[in-house]
Amino acid sequence: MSSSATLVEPEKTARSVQPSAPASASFAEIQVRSSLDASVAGPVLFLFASALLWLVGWSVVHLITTWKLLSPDFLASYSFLTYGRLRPIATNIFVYGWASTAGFGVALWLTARLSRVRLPSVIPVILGTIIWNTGLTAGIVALHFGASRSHDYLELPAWSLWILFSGFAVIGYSILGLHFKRAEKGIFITQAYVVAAVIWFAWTLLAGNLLTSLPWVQGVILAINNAWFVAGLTNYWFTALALGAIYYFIPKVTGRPIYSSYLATIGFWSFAFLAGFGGLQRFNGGPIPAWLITINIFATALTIIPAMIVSLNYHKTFTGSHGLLHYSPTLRFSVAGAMAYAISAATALILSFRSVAGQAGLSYANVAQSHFVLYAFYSFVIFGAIYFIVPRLVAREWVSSRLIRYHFLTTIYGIGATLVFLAIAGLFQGKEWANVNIPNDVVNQVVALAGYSPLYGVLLGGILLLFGHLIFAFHYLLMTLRLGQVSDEPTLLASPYAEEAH
Amino acid sequence: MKYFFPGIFGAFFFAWIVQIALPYTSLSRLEPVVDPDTNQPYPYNISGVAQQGRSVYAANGCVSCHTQQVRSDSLGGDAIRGWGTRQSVARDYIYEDAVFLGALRVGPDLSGVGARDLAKTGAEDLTSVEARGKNAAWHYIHLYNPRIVSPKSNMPAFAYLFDKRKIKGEPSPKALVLPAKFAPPADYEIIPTPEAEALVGYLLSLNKNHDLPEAKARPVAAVAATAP
Repeated sequence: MSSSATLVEPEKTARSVQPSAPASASFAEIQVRSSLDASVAGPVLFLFASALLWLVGWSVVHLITTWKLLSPDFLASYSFLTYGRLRPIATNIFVYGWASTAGFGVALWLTARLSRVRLPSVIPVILGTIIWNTGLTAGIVALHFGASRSHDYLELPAWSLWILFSGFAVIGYSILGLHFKRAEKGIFITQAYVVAAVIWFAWTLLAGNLLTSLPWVQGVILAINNAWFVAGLTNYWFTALALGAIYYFIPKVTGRPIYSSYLATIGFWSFAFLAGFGGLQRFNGGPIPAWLITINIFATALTIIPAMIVSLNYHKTFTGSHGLLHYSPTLRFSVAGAMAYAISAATALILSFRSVAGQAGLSYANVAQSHFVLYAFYSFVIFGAIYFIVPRLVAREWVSSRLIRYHFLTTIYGIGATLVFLAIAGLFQGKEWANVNIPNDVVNQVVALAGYSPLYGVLLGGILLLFGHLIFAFHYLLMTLRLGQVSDEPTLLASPYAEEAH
Repeated sequence: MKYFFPGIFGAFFFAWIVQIALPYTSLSRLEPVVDPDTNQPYPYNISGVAQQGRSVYAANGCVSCHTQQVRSDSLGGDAIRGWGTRQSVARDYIYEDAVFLGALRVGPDLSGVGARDLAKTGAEDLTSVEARGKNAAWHYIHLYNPRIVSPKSNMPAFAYLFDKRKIKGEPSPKALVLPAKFAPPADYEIIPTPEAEALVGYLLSLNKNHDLPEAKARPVAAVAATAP
């Protein structure tokens, strides 16, 4: 097998390319990395395991809520399972349970690797994760019993979010601790994004939850704060982290340095100054000061600039390595995520135009947009990262390339169906509400019927996602049970050697 | 990156100050306006029962499907549709400690549902006891099972906000009057729980059809010309 010198062995080659280090790694260098990985292995595996449990839980709740839209009497006789309580539960499980928890794991591993500092003790992160999971579980139970604050991503009661915040504070402190102890004082672009994401997440959570909790703050400022918070969490935390991760994994897997560090810097700072904007255009035509909506539309348009800069940089780094997409799970998920990022920046702009917002503004089209960013972009990047990281923590390769392929196919078709059919449902919905020839006392039924058939497509997408997540969680379980392959070769989606036959 | 920490700090707080701190300074100064004709201030604090109803509204996630904002005429037909006589403005919400503007309209906007003639009473004055009574009865039936009054509705039934109990002695005056198909067995009756009563009180209190200096009602002629 080793005689096939004509083909690149992607991840093997990639392993030896530290973005800021010499092109080939010595034995000593490999030992340093193993020791760094070993120091964070327990906490990172625990974070990923928690995240995957939440993800499977989300898939089930998401399916139930989608089915409830089609069959409103399903499980309707229990207050704790009514649609209005389950929907925020699904959102919060996704945002805090899956996306944030997995994000901590990726951020911790990346920071340990890039700072080249061992985690001094696993206890703080393990403890923080337990606090985080406990606070979230308690908050979800409270939502079942009707504790919702009715603000997106801030539905959890204040006390629950403060528990989450303290759990995160411990984890975040450990991550930043590694960063500040690094010997090399320069900062690689991935570190810039990851460290900024961790700090921004803390500030966003603090500011958003605090203002919502202050009893004397009343009126639309709460809604403004809420929309800012949703955009803040999406951009400052999820988008920043995923962009940083892509900057790490594409060079790693392709074995090529980042195309331009100048573009990377410009992209980072233009992103940083725009990330706090872009949430308020959801109130297009609504009861908030119009200048706020205007600057948010303007900022959403400007966001195309960092999106194009970053995408160009990814593209140039990746060009010439398209063949690797055939083999590397990490690359396939990361590149799919990177493409979703570029497209989602454009769809965000389209949705913010006043002419579009009239019909699409308060429709499922907006739900599709948030799924686009949080799933097709962010979650795909995280999937790719987990495929890269876990073998290095358990010293085993992934058990089955078939399971990885099934995971990729189910999730990409699942999210594809979800996005397309949500967008169609949203267009139908907006069109019927705006049709003033339909009398007021039946318009709600016309709207419900219009959304009916596309929602079956969303349901189908949800079923595919559930399968994909079960496959991934099962595969992860096998890995943590040390049932992975003992091999020098990473598990690739296709064998590079089989191709030599034809 | 020497300016890394000042940079990310500046980026964050610039956006926060522009979008939260600055608007707060002006929005927190909004005061009610006294109507010169009736001498009544608007907006006003809603009653205790309606306040409780607002919590029931929040607890059950009504905001998942219902907005409470009539958008300006430049965006679709919110006002023409009859959800309100004018677009909603920030002053409408100054007494609300949870603002249910919402982000998705699976169902209709509710910002003026208390001013809408749902039960087709034909009463000019929707605050009359008769009109309120009929609209309240409509809300109870609709909450108990939306498909009684709106056959193709996809709103979930909130039957858990009602008690089904055996009639002892006189039937309760609060019992729902239901069509035969949806009625309980002969010796049973459906009674709203205090939560349901509070929620209906809240829904009936929702009315933003008051003129404000910054937002006046559309001319009636314009509404009549476009409304079905």
